[in-house]
Amino acid sequence: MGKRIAVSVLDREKGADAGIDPRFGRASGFIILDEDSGEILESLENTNVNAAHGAGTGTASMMSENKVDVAISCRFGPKAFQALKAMGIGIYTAPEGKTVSQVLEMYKKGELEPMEIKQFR
Amino acid sequence: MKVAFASGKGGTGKTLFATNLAYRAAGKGLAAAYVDVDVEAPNGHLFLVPSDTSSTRLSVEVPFLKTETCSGCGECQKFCAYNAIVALRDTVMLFPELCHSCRGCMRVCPEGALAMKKREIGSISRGFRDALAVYTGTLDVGEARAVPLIEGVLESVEHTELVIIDAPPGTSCSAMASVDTADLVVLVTEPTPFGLHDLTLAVEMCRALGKNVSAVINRSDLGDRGVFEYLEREGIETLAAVPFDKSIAEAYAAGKLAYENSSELANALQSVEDWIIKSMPAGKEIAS
Repeated sequence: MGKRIAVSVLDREKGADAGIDPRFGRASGFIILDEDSGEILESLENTNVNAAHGAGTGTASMMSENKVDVAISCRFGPKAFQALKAMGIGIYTAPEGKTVSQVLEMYKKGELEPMEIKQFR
Repeated sequence: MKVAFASGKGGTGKTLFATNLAYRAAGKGLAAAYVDVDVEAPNGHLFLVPSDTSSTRLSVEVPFLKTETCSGCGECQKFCAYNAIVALRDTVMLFPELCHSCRGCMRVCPEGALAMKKREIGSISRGFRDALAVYTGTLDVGEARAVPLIEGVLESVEHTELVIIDAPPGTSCSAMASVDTADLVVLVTEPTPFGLHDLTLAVEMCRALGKNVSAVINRSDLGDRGVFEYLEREGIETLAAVPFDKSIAEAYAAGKLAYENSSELANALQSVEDWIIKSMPAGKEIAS
């Protein structure tokens, strides 16, 4: 078993072909894959999507509850970043418009950027 | 008597009407206060330029962690409805700006590891423009929760005959808190599709709060008839309709009280004032 990789997705129904949701905290959902096999381990609805505040921290807690090792999205907010960092979860940013399987390939090839503090747009 | 100027849509003229009406009424001898509770972007002071201002800080209670006792069980995180707490392996991380001060985390913690402390979220200032008392709430940058400050500003207003509340736009918690204590609500709108859409939301919000609403239509000669038809259909009284007037826009842009340059605006303010006086308990009158 490899690491548990969570990718924010627009449409969970599409599985590995789902497009990446550009937002972490308010992503529509997440697909968790096994890094090595690419197998889909979980498909999670994001209940924080319409939170007035605290979507980022809520979604970060969801990552921790689902034993995620690495979270991938296009953008992470400052509170989500801070929480994920403290949880020891890897934070990687991917370009918009990719699918889950493309993002996983890019991650494995080392093509994704680990997010650093003060990188917020 | 508390009168809130609210709107669904931003930029319809709440501050224009609230500042001008309050100043004009105070000039006629009524003990009046203008209260800016658009705490995320207060701007009434730009037109009223209060002097002799004094300011106090407002705090809310938020939890802090006595780290030596936290076991990291995460009960507080599960309880928190606002995601203000994140559980880590052997401790928790607090995001006080998300906290709503319910104290629930403190109660559910089996270790007694949480306690409350004060956290400042904004300022309340009071000053005067001639006879008019001018109150302004200003939320600190980065704070997510405006309601405690809005309530604090409204509570700080000393007894006056007429309190004019300048509410934030929208129908969020902030907008609700701003109109909640008002005796009358004036919705300032404009005859555009956006104006109509957001007016409809604001009317629904006010009705849910048990408020009777009246309307003022700003830039009434622009746009379409949708707002007029809606107000008539809903039986909402239109207190005044002010056509677009460049001199109002120029005065506003220069930070002036525009009614001095516009008889249209002055007449509209008089109509609103008449309606307020009519709605007041007997015995209160503004000399004309």
